[in-house]
Amino acid sequence: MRHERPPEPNALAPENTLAGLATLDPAEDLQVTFCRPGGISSMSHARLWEEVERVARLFDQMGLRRGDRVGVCLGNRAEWVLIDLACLHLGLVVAGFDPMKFVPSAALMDRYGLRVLVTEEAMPGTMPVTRLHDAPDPAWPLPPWPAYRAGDEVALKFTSGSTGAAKAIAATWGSIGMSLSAVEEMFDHGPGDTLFVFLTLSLLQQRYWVYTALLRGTDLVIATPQTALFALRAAQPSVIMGVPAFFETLKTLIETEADAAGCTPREAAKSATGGRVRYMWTGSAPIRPALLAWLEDVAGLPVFEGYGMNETCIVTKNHPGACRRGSAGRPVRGKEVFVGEDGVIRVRARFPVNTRYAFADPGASARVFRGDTVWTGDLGRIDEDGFLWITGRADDVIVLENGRNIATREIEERALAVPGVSHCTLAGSGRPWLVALVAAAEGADLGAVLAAINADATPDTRVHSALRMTAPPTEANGCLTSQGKPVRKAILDAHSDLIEAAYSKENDHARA
Amino acid sequence: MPELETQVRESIARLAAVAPEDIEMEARLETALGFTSMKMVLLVTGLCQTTGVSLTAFTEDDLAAMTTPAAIVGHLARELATEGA
Repeated sequence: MRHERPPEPNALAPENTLAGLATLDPAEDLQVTFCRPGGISSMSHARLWEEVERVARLFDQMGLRRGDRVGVCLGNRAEWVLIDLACLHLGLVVAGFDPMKFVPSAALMDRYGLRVLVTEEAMPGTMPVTRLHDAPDPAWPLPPWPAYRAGDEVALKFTSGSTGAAKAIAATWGSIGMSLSAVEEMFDHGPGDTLFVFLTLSLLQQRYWVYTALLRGTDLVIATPQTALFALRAAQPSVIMGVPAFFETLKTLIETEADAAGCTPREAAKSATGGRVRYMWTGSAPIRPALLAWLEDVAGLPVFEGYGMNETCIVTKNHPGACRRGSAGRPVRGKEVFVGEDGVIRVRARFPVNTRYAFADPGASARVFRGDTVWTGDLGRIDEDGFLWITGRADDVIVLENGRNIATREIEERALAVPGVSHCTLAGSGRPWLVALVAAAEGADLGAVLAAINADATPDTRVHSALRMTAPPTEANGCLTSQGKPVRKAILDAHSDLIEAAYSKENDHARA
Repeated sequence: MPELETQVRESIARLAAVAPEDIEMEARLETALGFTSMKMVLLVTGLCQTTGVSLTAFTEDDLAAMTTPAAIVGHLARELATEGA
């Protein structure tokens, strides 16, 4: 018999949704499965919860106390989940570090005020993950859950900063609860669902799905980026969390398998995803309209796009009850969105993530958190039915020497349609004309890229040169976020010499 | 091994839109053919599916070392030999 849905968030106010964990009756017949290089393991919710309480006792015995920061620099694995939930149990603040971006060290601990930093390998001053398997003193009692208030900070999340050191914002208990509650209003996860997560758990929003699985009574599969496509087929998820770069890859997989098997993309999609997908969740970066249409109309995989950022958490979301393809959806409960005359999207929240950065360059908090409003830096419009349409980043507008503003997104997307091109970033701020930095296979024709970019170009939007990037943007070189989003400033900085040369007309790249 | 090499060449060729015979076995896929990390995942996942090797048989270090067609052939061959042993 399937586990029955836990009691509705009942007496819990939406901002207090996480308090449901304190009274959880974890199920024996629901599973959390971890699929990572080296192996697959599963445990029931009940077993997971026993392990969480063991780790909570261990941390308490180690002297960790409410408000202490616990850093986690691990790939996706069971211990990540145990630490996170044990910290919630004790009132500790989890700081999730993406191991692709951060090198664990004593300096990192000092910079972010960590009491403990859990790492894959033993190193001076940090706690190797193997120590989590230590048994606490059998007589050591399990401390009670703390009484949280909405404004209590429970997790530190990081975002790229302008000077190299990552900015951090501390997410509040109330903001997480409110977001979880709003998502359930739209998607109603429950018994029979299998949630599928593969992005790094250092992203708090990925850990939301752990909380959802426990609170709503669903199965959960946690993979890694390397195992995601492999795990998808076997996991047969009903809900897939992804980002556009992943869905592009999934499309290629489906097309390849359809060709090889001589079947329709819809049949291949069922085989590749296990055939039980209720919907796929995309966010973080805009998804190409043509990709969205292909996934839904050709492959039969519903995709719901949304909008949010570290500083706001989820803001808008398409969902089965209100969806307009290409938009980012309507504001979720607890969020208010408006667009200023400058086109920049502003967000107000009933329970804000926070009202300042915990760690940032001087002035960064004041630029983003203005009174009760977050200045997102994204450009958009709200249609007559309340759907938000994202048109670009304020940062992505290039102001040419002649003062004309050029929105880069549409132009860059044209380059991606050329075979062999994986990335395109425009440059030209303060210059007389635009140039394009292109990451492409060695055989790709930059002349064709330029022709594609300049189809229907006006004199101002005409790109004069296509320059081959010295290396494609990756997380490792700091030019991609962990969710596959290009970091414009890092890409431009990495190719400053190439760009300078283009304007000095002393090279042999493709020219329009 | 020749059959495995052919499978690897064909898979790479399909994803990179090049001819199988033009692929150099020692070339780094990232720089020579513009493979992104996601495309590498796609390639290795597909090859595991084709050859019947479980992707989770490989460690993180194994996967990180699969940067060239030759390295991919080597790892798959080792795993097939282990499974067949």
